[in-house]
Amino acid sequence: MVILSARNVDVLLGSRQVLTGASMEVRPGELVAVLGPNGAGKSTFLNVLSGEQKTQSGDVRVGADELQHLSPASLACKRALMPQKASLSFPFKVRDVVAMGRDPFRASVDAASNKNAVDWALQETDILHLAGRVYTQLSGGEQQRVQLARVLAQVWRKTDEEPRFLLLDEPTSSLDLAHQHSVLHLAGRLAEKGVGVVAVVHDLNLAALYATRVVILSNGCVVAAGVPEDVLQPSLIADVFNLSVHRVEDPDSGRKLIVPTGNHRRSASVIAIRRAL
Amino acid sequence: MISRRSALAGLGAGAVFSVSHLRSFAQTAPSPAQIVSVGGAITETLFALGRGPQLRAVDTTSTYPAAANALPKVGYLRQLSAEGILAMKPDLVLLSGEAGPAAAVAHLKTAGVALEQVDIGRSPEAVALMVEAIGRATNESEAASALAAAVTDQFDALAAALPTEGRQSVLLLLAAGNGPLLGAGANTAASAMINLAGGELAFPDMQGYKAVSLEPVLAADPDWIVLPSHVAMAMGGPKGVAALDIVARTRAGSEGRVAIIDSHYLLGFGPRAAQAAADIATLLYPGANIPPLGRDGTPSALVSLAGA
Amino acid sequence: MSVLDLRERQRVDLSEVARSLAVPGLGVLLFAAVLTGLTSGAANLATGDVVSVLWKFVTGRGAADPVAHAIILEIRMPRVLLGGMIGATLAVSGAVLQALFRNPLAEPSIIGVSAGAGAAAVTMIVLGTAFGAMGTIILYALPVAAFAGGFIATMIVVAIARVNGQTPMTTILLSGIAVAALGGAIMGLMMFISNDEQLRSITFWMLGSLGGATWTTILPAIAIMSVILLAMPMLMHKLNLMLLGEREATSLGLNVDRFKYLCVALVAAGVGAAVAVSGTIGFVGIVIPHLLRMLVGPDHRILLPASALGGAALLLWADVVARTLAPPAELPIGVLTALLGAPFFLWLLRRAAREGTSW
Repeated sequence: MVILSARNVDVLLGSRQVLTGASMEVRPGELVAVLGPNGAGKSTFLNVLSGEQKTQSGDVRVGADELQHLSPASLACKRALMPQKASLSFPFKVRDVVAMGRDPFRASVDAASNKNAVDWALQETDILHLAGRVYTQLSGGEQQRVQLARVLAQVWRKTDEEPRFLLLDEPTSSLDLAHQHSVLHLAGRLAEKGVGVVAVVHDLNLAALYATRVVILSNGCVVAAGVPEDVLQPSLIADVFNLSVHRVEDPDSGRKLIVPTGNHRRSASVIAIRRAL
Repeated sequence: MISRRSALAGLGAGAVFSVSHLRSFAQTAPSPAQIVSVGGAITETLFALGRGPQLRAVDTTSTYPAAANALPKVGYLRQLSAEGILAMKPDLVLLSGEAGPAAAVAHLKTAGVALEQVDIGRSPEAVALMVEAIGRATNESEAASALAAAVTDQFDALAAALPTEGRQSVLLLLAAGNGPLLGAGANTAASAMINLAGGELAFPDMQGYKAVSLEPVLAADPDWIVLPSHVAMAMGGPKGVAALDIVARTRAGSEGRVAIIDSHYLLGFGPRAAQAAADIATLLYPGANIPPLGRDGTPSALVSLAGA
Repeated sequence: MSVLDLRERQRVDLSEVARSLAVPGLGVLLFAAVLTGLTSGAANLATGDVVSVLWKFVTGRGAADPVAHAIILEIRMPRVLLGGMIGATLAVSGAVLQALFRNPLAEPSIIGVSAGAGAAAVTMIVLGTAFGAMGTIILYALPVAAFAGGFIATMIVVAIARVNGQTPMTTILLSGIAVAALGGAIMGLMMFISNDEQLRSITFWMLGSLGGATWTTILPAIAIMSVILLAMPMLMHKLNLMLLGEREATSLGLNVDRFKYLCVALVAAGVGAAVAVSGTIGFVGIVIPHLLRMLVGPDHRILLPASALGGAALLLWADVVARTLAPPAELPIGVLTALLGAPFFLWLLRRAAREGTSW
């Protein structure tokens, strides 16, 4: 099985140590949610896993290959990354934007399959009716779904090809409630189909409901990793997120959901001082 | 006289030959019926040799004699149109050595037109050589020799009449477009003409045409200031010239020793070159006995600003 | 379906029409321009003469008036070929740079190639008389010098802009400005020490002209310009990816830094060759790609070929005007394209300012 893994990674940006000794693994078939407060280093960690961010020390590999030894072209065939903010400001047609996701496979895969990939991606993200529209005229949420469709098209594969990894950096930030859930649900379905999905999300409940595993980052370190049920305990959440919560069981799925209690805990700086002493 | 038709037929045959022996081609061909002349001095010489009626077209620097002005133009000397020249279907094209651009000249050569490049120099010998070269090209060698000899005699007569001492210094001014005024230094057509007129340069150590400002001019204190007519026109005629700082505040300017001379006459080094030099000499040395050299007393091409 | 939906459908359909007609339409326009270019000029040739010359050229049969033959095949044909290639190269280069900079105001001179070529050309005109007569210099040595100068200037621009293994486009822009200023200073210095004849040559060279086109002089330039035009199929997809964003392009497999160098090198070579044989011709590189982008959209699979055809057609039509407005004098073509382009450029700026977007 091909595993995307980061071991003991240190990342220094300028003079700031953003990640320290961070480790994480993603297997095909999993949906891993990366959680943490603002500034914890989640996006950086995702960029390390995508090969975009160089590390000062540590080992990042997909399968047997170290990411930094792979060319952009071969990386593109193994994983797709959806950044937090899209920078497309040109009036492309939606279908053309999604089709760009197949660019790494233009030479290696036949045109019919590529078209199938695009159609499938448009359908899964519920934007088939927008295919002929101009990207710049869409709402923020619609644009985000187009970008999602693009990376979906990139991870689409024919049955005999290697499994791929999908990295999503806050894919729900501009989406309405219904679409937030449908995106995570889609991510879960992709995982079942054999894609290894890593998603940075803010909403703990989305992670609780859909993720196979969660990884909690705080101040550049991985402070917990495991199944949501085990990891998302009120004490950990209080420490890391500075929020007092309790857990409630969802009657349908049996999963534990997080609900704030309304009591404010002491400030984070006090907690840090206490820990240091 | 060979008919135009058969001359054209001959040209058609000649078009497929290589053009490396143009000089001999021109010599052995019968008197060309249609000539295109590029270069004021060349046009003037052609008229002087009696070939005026056979001129089909000229360039824009060919302004003398008056009949030349009436001829169709093929463009400016240095920016010719090869097509424009070829469209005239000439039997012979005479090009000054300064004709350009090089591509147009190359096009004319490739087109197989009978071409003669005539160098225009800056000395009495050069003028004579030019006249004789044109004579050979147009089968007027006798007339050309006579004209060349006459010009050489004129230069000799002038040189003999020039005073040996008390040389006057002359500043000749040009303008580069709308830019600063340029003064003539050594190695220019202007310096050659001034020397032939017995004068010396206001800036003898300067090479070529360089920008001059008021201070160095005041320091050099020229005896005479000369402007070619096209420069004077650009300055706004005699009034505009008189208003220039360089003119108004120098000794030469305030004493009215400023001359405006027809540009082509002054710097063209054509057959009238000796006369032009004599005109200048007359201004510089009013006391000396400068021979009239075949012109009628008052130099009509000259306008000096007396008391301006 | 509401009336509004219907109307938007119609608008979209119209742009679909524009998209599919653009390339063939521009092809027709170019064809017409070529014909006009071959049949217009200072010499008023009878149509019969033109036809017989072209017939003879194509089939090798029949006789043709030698003067007409010389004019059409030796003067006009290389000129039309050169004009078309230059127009296409400038327009495609403009499109490429506009995509790299993600800015519709970018054009080939931004990377310093025109300044470098100009400085080298002017220096050659002024100092080169040691090597031979002015005429031969301008015809043969100058294009080589100009091309080398353009390329070197671009390399300097890119080298200055490269920081920590990355070459951000804003830095390229700024170093391009600096190198252009340096080139301008060198040109000014040369013009100061030049004599009358040299100054005149410099002026005419800088105004731009296709008049220097002879078969020998254009063939090397055309060979070099062909490179960027032949590279279009490869560039199309990658330029689209660049518009997505540099991060997205990288994650889709494009080596962005290497691609930027490649594009800059292609543009420097193509534009350098164009400037070398015809002087500085401005505005084609900015006007054509921008105009066509408004008509056919940002997709480079249509925009690049359309720009090539449109640029070629524009330059050829401009050259026809240059040659026939005041015969036998030829207006410098750089003047014409500037007269056309400057008002358009100003209109572009105003529109960008008003709408808050630049596209």
